[in-house]
Amino acid sequence: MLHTDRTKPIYIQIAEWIETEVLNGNFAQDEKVYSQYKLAEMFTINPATAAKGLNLLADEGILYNKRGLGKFVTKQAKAIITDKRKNQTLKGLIEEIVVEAGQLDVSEEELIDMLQTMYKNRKGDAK
Amino acid sequence: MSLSEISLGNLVKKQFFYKLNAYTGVFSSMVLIQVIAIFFSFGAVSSGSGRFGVQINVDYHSADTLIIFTMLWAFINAVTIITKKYRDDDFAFVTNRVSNNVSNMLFLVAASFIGGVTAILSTFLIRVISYFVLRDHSVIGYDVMYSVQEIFSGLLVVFLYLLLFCALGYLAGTISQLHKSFVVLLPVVVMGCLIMIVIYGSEVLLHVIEFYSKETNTLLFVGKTVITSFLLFAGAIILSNRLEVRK
Amino acid sequence: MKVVACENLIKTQGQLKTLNDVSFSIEENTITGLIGRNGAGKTTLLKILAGFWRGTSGDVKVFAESPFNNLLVSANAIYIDDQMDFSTALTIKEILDEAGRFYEKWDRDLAQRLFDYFSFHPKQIHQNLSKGKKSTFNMIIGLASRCALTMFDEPTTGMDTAVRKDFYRALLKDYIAHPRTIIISSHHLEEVEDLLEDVLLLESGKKHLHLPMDVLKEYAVGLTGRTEIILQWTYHKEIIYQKNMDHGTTYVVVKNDYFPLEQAKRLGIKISPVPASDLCVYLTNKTKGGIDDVFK
Repeated sequence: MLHTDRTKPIYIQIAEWIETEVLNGNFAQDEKVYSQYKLAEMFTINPATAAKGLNLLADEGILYNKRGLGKFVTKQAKAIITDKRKNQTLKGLIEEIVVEAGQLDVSEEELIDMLQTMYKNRKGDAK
Repeated sequence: MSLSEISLGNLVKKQFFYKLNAYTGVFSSMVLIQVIAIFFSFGAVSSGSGRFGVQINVDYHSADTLIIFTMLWAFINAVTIITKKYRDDDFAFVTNRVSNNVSNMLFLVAASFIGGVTAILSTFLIRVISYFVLRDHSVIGYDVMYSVQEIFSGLLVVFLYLLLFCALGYLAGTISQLHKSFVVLLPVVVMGCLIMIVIYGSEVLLHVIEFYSKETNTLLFVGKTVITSFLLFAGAIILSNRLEVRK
Repeated sequence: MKVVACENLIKTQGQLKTLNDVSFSIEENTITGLIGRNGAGKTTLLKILAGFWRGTSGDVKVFAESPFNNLLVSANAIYIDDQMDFSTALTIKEILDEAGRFYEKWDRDLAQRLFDYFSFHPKQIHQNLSKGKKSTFNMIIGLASRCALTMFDEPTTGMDTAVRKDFYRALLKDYIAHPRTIIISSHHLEEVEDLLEDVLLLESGKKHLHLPMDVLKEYAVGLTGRTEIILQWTYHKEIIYQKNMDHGTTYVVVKNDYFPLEQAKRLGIKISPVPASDLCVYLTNKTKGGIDDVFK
């Protein structure tokens, strides 16, 4: 679950984990997400770190606060997460691919070709 | 944040009972020493009242040996419970230096009392053994029965002597903790004093001993020993109050 | 409320300053990792906080009181290390019972359940326990005492991996249920880093840094690239660690402030995060190249 990348701050890993849960529909709109203590216990991390992850999501409009009750999933949560991941995570990955391709002298066409093959294979797997 | 409050008195009480429970070695060594002393006292039959001035009227078959051995035990016992190991044991749990010292003092008072009682009882044991095993009928030749009062005053005197030696040992033990060099220096000083008495017959030191041993007034004797013990303990408390622990 | 506050704390032992002008404070209900190399002054600091040792100069406050010889501090602070010694006349079960009489908030039930879980035998003597078992037993006392300030000095010495994991988890669960201020000193930052809220890094008796764990994780970046490009890029930067690799490549660790990372990427510099545990080692190295410098 966590610790795929030990060098990434844990609160970001927590935020990403909740995002993924929201994307997968495990937390529906207006549903309460886990408290900082629950998260701390689940992942054996400091509750303050878990709180930081939750606050990050609240700042981004993915979660909203109900005083004394906890944090809940906003209406636009899925859209925000999708948008964010497209613009940041996916872009970053693509950038890495392009840099790596440059180092390996892989041409643009070749790279696009590789991408298309990947798509084809995945479609084949799905069938 | 709620903090636990604990009074010094309450803590001393807890530590005292902990020590009675944990320092069992002190009492097993006492039994051992008294048993050895009993054997010794049959080896050396002496007579007369205590050379060391123990004014208890149990002066046959050298009850002195037994008392002196028990005094030695008291001294060593006090030195032992002030060693690093024992002090660190205390500092594993709640304590400060005063409560550590006061509970040690109380423990030594209790140990002296128990030591006194067993010492007195052992002197009777010596007589019984003498009578039945050694067929020494002289032991019931005179003063067969002690009055209750005599027994109790004997117990009081032995108890106070033991306490005095505990206090001496406690102060000596504390001093030796202050600096490594005292561990060597202190025995040298003690031996020096003994040599002065034995070889040169030092007047001053003899006077010091006689100050206690030649006192015939019970009340004055109690006063002298109790005050001296108290001063020795107080000295130890003052000296160790700045001592760092768990080095 | 500040549970611990040190100001210009100095501790001289013999000729050596084992603590040299240390100032920091620790807030209530936090878990702080006390990190540093051997001899950095971790134990000295903790023993002063526990009231065992005196500071030579400077000011130390625990629960707003001077800890040395202080009953309030002793009743509410516990210091656990592998040197703990208990009476040999008592069995470990009896020691637990005695500990329970001394600490007001002692959780007898928790102590017993941990005792059973780690399969201790009630009749065992502390002195005869193995190193790891001793640490485990001491840890039980540390947890069950529920002291407002709980200090663990290298608590996992001798413990096997499974017990270490159990310990960290037990610590966290009990901390969540009963928040208190905890300080853990450890050589193994990577093992405890998830538990920590803050890190206090000591080096040769001095405070090197005191930061939230998350900030420490982003404190520095590693750059790998062709030596000349790297050197040019880090020309006026403070280099925390440098390692020259084969074929003219260099790896450097620099402080992560306003570094034009995007631009660096395009120049073919590989950027990598620096694990907190590595960073602490680099920060406390005497030379920029570590042990490699000895063999130059």
